[in-house]
Amino acid sequence: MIPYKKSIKKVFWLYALMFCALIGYLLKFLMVDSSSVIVNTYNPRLSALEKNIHRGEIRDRDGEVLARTVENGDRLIREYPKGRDFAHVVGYVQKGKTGVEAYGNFILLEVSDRFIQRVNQVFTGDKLKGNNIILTLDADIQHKARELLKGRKGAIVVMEPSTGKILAMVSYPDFNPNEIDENWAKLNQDEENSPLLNRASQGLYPPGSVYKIVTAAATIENMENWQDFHYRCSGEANFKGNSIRCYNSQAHGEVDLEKAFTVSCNTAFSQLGVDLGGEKMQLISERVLFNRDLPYELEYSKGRFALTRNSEEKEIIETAIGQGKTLVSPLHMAMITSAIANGGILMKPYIIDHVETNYGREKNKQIPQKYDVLFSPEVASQLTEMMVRVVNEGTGSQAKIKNVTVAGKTGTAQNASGEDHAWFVGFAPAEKPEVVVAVIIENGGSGGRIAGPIAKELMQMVINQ
Amino acid sequence: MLKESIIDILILISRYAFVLFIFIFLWSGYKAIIFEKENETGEFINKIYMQRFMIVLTHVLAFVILMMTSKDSVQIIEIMKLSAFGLAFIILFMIFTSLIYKKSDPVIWNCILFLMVVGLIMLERIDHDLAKKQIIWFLAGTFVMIFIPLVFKIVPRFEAFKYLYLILGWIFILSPFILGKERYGAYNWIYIGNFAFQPSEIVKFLFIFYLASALRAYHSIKDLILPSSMAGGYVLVLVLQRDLGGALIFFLTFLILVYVRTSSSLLFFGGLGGASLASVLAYKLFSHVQVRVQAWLNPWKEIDTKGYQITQSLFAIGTWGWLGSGLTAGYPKHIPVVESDFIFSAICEEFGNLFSIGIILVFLLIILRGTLIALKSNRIFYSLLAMGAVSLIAIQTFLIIGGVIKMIPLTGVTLPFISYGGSSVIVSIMITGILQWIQSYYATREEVLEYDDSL
Repeated sequence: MIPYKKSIKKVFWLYALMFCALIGYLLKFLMVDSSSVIVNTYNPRLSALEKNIHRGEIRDRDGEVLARTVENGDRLIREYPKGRDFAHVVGYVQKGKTGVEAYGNFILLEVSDRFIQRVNQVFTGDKLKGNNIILTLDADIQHKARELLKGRKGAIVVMEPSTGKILAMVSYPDFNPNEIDENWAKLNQDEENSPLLNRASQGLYPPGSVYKIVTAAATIENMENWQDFHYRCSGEANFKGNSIRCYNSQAHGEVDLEKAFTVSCNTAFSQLGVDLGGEKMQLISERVLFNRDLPYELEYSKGRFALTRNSEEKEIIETAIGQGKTLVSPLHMAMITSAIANGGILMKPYIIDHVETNYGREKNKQIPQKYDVLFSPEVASQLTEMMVRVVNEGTGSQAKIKNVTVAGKTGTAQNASGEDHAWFVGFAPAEKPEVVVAVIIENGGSGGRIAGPIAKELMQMVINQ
Repeated sequence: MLKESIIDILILISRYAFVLFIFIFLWSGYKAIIFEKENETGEFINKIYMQRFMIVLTHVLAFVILMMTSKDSVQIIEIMKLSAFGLAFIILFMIFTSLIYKKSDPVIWNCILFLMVVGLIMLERIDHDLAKKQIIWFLAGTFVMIFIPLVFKIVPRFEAFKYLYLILGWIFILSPFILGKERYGAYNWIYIGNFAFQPSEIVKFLFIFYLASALRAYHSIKDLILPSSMAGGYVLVLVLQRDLGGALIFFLTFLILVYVRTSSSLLFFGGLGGASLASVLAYKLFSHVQVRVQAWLNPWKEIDTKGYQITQSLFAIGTWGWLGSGLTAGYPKHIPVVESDFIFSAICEEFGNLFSIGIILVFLLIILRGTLIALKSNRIFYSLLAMGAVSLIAIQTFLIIGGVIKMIPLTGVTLPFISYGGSSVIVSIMITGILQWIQSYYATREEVLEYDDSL
């Protein structure tokens, strides 16, 4: 055979391959990427659909309606029967879209069984109806969480560690989504309280002592003889001219890692930070998702962490106890805690459980997915053990529940805005965790005293359900 | 409300119909190839007629929908007229091509006709005036193409004029520097009165003639020096005119033809490597190259400026899924230059992605049949010419579809046969004419005794 004809055949197969690649890429785009692409606010198609389609309902996991559309003459009005309870997480549609209303926009406007609906329309004149969204949130827990905030600035996240389901997410100050049009100017201009901000996922706070979970994990992983670590705490310590003090300058005396964790001893943890060095701290912090995208679909802010191999000692000693430049959202802390509760594995947090068509057919059921391994099982169980001690005999005693082993960590974070922020993260039962709670009360004072009892109430409620 | 519901139901059903039509079209094409191999001429012709029937059905159903959704009665009559012209063109095209190109490949004719019809429907949907002009381009292209066999008859040895192609090519490709104006950020258009055209399109045609005649007499690597420097020159000029897509089409076609002639993988991959280095250099040197690459890497970052086109295209492709919104039910006009570069996205949006995959397969069918023509020829000049024609279509199609789905950076080229545009339509039809003339030449002279058509 003439050689150039052989080449012609090869060229044909090259073209065939290129065209198959086109089809393959298109298929991948449609099946994997497109659902998150098309909800972008720059997509003009959705707002065009909105005028003619009866937007679907948003419901909690028991079917309680959180958002619905009612027809008022020719107009379609969006109602939020639970009012302020779900203001941030469900969001609103009147002034731009936020929360689930934004993320699920396409689903809510997508008309399933369009053909039957259209035929039906010929006879009844009904508008086309979009799909309903069923959330993982629970209206009772959500309501309770909001009540527990008692009008204090702060946020709460409740999660199920074994699945990643988010059970509640509240933030205060809040707003009434039914009256957003009337109050828009006021809400939007209130920079002091920023009521529109979802503090649970978008608020960034210094973690204070709850960050000691990460420092402790770094210690267990990197120091072979961490069990022999000893430190004498005199309530204050000097690191090359920079001083670190324990809460109320309390001297904890002779401590090992567990003891230091239980009583939340700052000086001992600063020493651990110095021993570990900036690079190791950076490595583990980035593994637990600082400076990285979180596996979360609604609005959020990334956690920030500043240490590197070149960081100075002053920065290291502050960062090791959760001060310095570290910033984190309550949701992010809930994720870290959830990974510990789940043997080190973070399940991908999610909020949309499934979609239901207008005729009640269930589709797109979310199946729990493993997101990443944040800690080894050994480290996770060590951390759990220490967190149980925090609640049983340490700073977290106010989160104790009768007949249930609770694991937790308190934080009292110094900040520029005044009184310390009160933190608590924890889970229960420690042996077989059913619930993770992360609480922050802005300028609330002591984490153990202020945030601990809130977490306790919520854990108890979930366990008793 | 009632009328609206009924039209909507019709549009919903039509989505399934269009997908059915294109897949029957493709299946018939496939079966036709099988019957042709088994020498079952009767069955072969049946399948060809089935394909033609699908073309007509697609045209008629689409125009019925376009008429029904039209607002006023004047407009309806306009669309009706255009639809009738379109139908007449389809039928005349079928008749004339088989009369003038004796024993040409009917599968290829059907494929390009199907693509042209889909293009016409989409253009009518987007802008009636463009559709009207597009029919004129169809006619002009077909008219020119009809004369190709005549010219070939008068001038039997086309390989003798390689310097003529070269000189003409240089005149055309340099003309925008004198007569050109900027359009969509590129300087590759020239204007004569109200008439704008892209000289690089015509140069494509001359370029494959030049390469086929220059590479025909290849003995050693030295024979590649002149063609390489000429091709390099064209590419450089096109890059300077900011026609990146054109530059890539010329370069890759050159590389493919050199590979066909020399069978040297070393040259092919060496050329690709050289091109990658040149691309890196171009990226460093030219800001317009940087803009394209950045818009490809992360269009979301600058969604309202650099990333606007490509993200709008992705919204159109992604919003409606497999069956599309239905003709007239989408929003393709939000995509910039939807009538030319981005017409594929509009097809994805309204006809759905099953249909658009069908369109990709129709192009692949053209490439397959074109390759068979190149294999049939026992003169190397014709084989190279046929492969040149196939390559121009294949590479251009790949670049623009890959671009609008964000698989590769966007290079502004048209989708052959479908996009709006005089130069593009006419040259695409002429390239097909060349291919069919070679087929017809061998089929009528029975010069081919034996050829291996197994791929």
